[in-house]
Amino acid sequence: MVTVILADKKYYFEGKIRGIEILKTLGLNEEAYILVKDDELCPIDEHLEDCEVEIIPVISGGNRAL
Amino acid sequence: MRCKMCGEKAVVKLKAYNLSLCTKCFDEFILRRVQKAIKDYHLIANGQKVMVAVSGGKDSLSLWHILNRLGYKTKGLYIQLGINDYSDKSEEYTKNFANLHGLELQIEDVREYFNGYGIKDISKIVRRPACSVCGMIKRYIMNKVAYEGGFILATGHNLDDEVATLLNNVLDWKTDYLGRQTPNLSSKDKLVQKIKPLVLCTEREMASYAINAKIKYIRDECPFSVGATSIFYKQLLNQLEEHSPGSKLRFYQNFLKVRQIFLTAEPELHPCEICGYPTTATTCNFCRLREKIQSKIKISSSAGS
Repeated sequence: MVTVILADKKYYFEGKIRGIEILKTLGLNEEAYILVKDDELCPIDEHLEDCEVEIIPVISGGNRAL
Repeated sequence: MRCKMCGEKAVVKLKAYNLSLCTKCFDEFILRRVQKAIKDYHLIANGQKVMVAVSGGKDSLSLWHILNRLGYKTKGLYIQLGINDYSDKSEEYTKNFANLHGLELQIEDVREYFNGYGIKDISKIVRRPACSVCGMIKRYIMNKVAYEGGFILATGHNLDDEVATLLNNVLDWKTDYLGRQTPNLSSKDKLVQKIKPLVLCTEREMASYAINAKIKYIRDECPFSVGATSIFYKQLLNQLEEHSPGSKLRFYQNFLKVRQIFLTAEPELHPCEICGYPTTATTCNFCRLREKIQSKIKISSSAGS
């Protein structure tokens, strides 16, 4: 089972699954998120199994002066 | 997936460049992109000191990290905006980063300029959107502090920020804004040179760099940015990028090639009669805002007495 953490929610995926498939299932654009496993970048093509990954949004917004 | 450069296990896939990279090669890739921006747009001259405007977020902290690794003389500037927990948290991240890397950090507090009021209160008092008030105040303080310290000013605007702004300016054909949209805004009188060394790096690349470099940054968004148009534009542009990798970079770089045609005569600037910093009016926006706040306080205190 793969546990996926996104913001304050958790999602569970049975068996083996690739990061890109997780993003697609959750309706997330791969340009707007990165996957992190054990504090390291996790490639979206990697097959995941029995682990926990965090999906981190990368878009920041508003009237940014910084 | 293997790194195209060295054959090690790749951690990042960069579709815009048809490139998969390992941790080490991705790190070198980002440094090269920043160096390329600095060189191509003549951002930093020999001996210039760089003040890095830091917010505690991934882009500004990564920028500070990178400029130091590249050997530039830097100092961080954090502006405490007084936006409740969000500002306190982001200040904490910034201080921790500076301490961890032994970097010099200057903190300016908006509340010290505005009788104890933070952005939220100021916005309410003058009945203007928080983002508009915040942007103007930050630009003024950043320029003032950099000018007084003899620095040029670097901000963490990345490719996605610039492309979202470009799309906004093109949709409304704001030609004067298009003429001024540049990664390198020259200095003039008391206006310091402003540079954007991350313009060739996407938001996703910067987040990946931050994770790779173990930079702890604030992931919360400013509470006032909820529903911002710029976020919507970024989402649209990411859909375009997914369909046609490299679109964002092409849009931006091709724009810079033709930007000159939008250049118009610069407005005449005079020293503000209160603070002496350049303005197109008699009194600058920042001083006018301060006066407004002070007069509102006087009115409410005399009404209360």
